[in-house]
Amino acid sequence: MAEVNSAEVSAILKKQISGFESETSLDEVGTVLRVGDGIANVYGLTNAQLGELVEFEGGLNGMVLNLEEDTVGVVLLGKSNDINEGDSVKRTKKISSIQVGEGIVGRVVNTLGETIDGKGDIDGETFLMPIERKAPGVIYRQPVTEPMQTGIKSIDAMVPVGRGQRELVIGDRQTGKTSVCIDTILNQKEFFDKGEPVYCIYVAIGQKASTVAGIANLLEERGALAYTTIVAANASDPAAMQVYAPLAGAAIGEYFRDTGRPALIIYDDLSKQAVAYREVSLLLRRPPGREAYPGDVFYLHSRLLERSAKIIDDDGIAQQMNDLPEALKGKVKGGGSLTALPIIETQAGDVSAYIPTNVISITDGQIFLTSDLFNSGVRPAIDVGISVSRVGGSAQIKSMKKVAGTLKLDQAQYRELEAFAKFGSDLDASTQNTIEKGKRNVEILKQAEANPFAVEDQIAIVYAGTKNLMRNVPVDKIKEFEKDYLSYLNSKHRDVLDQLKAGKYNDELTDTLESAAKEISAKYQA
Amino acid sequence: MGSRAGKRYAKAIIELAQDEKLEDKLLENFNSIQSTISNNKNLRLMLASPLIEVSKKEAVLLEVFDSVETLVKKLIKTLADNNRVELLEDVSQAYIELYNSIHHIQSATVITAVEMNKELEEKVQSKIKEITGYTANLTNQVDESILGGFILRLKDLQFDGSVSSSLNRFKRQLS
Repeated sequence: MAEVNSAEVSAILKKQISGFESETSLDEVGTVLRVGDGIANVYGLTNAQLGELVEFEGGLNGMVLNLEEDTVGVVLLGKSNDINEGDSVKRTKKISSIQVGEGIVGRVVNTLGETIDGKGDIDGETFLMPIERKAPGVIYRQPVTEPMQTGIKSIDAMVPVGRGQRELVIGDRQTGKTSVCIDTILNQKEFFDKGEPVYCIYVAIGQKASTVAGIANLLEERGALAYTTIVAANASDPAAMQVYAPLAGAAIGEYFRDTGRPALIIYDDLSKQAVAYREVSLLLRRPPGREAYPGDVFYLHSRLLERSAKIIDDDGIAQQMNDLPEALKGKVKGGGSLTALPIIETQAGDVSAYIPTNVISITDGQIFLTSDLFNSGVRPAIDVGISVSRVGGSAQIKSMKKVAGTLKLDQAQYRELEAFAKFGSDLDASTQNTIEKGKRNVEILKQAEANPFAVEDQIAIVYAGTKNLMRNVPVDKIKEFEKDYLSYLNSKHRDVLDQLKAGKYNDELTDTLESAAKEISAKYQA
Repeated sequence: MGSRAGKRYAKAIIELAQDEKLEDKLLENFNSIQSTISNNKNLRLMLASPLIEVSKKEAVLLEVFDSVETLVKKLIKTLADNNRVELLEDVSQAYIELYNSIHHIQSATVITAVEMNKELEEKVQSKIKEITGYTANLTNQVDESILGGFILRLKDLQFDGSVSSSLNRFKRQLS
């Protein structure tokens, strides 16, 4: 640390002392009746609002969650060690909010918006964003039309995600749910480099601090932290912090959404949030329901995910948006979006458990990851048969839509016939053809971790797959073929790829792809 | 705190008392009932015990509070009829609160580092009048740990002008 001489110290103190306002005001106070397990019961505070922040004597904050006849139930947003029975609790008359600004990008913050990466305070101007906010109403929205490129072939081709969509990522533990989402963040680098960043927010709920640090490192190494914010409520943080971490992340996302920019938020994961919410609710003595979750656990998730939206591309209407925070007034622009990728962890593939069914019904589709596929080497282990995207189709770029149109059906047929594959040459030609093509498509859709594909490359390789241009390439050589084919196209026919990327699709372009595939596949002919 | 039922009984009895112009007398009665019950653990336990018959509880209460107004005796009998004798303390408490709010009597606590003098008391009274519109019965508590200034407590409201909390705030702002 740099030396600070005494004159500077005095100068700093002088500045702080002159800025100190010793204004005494009339406060509304209550008294702590009972404290424990992260919950305090406070007598008094008759006028406290639901969701209001209250301040304890030591400066610790709490949030009002229960209003009863004489007391209020407060969840503590910190350690309860310094609170005693009989302490006074002050109303702050503020709904809990966090400070968000451009400077929050690239930082790791906690649920309260305080930086926890040791790089000091958030730079620049900040705006107060309430963590609990109503979702935009229907007139301030528009349909999802732009693609949110994940860089993962099987997702972009078969379960496309649009900007403003909520696409659930669901699967057992160790199936690569987080990897799919992190890869999506990494793929947004293209847009950042182009100067149209998609701001990413990664909300880590109840994870190990080391895991979060690992993710932050990976993002930094790959240059992705420059447009990403991490909100972390680690496993050691109080349950209330874990419950509100996604809401804090959504508040950050809304800042970008409402100032007319695209944002992507990943909730990793909402099943842990539900568990934390169950803990808080039971401690507050709310009656338990199915699987001991409180009755409003559906509402908890639905109101969170409803905040993801595509905002209407009209500044005038967008400025009238409902429930706008004071700080944002006059800064609102239309056309922004908040895309959500919530993650849900299932137990032994049981998607009919309470929380998975809830979130499946709230979201606009789901990406299913299964351990069987993962263990058989199909990674990302996306089960395309049961993965769907209810709104993403209209957001897919035209050329991809044309090329990938039949892929999902082909793969479904292949899976049906897969069981007969062991009969080999006893099968008729068309069945054999379907099986051989399916095998090659499965190979195409495999993808290494942290290796996102540009959309034009995806179109080119998926074209080769659906048109069966690789029939002469042995299955174990598909990966090599893919590499050669794409590098050949990139060096010789960059213009064709650029046109595909722009959504163009005509015979001229496909002829180039076909001749390239023919040329390369000749090398691999057995 | 008082229970909701206690408040209902208190409201009924204060209306009856107003009709008979007995409010002040009843206030005295309820004050003594409240202090008797709250200072006497055995009496409180006896009232709450489910093992003792209601008729016995009633007899005991009528014996103990022999000198109260007939209206209060009637209240005790009604409570016994309704099997709610244990509410008597709550009713007394609620009656006192209700009486105070009808007559704009409020109590405030002033915490000071040294004993309060007349001049300060007047200033505090004027402050209370500014906040609520009415004066209040002041109770003075001396607490040296606040160092200087004063803390005024009026039900849920608190006006903290103490030196210690000012220093605390300053400390937090510096850290």
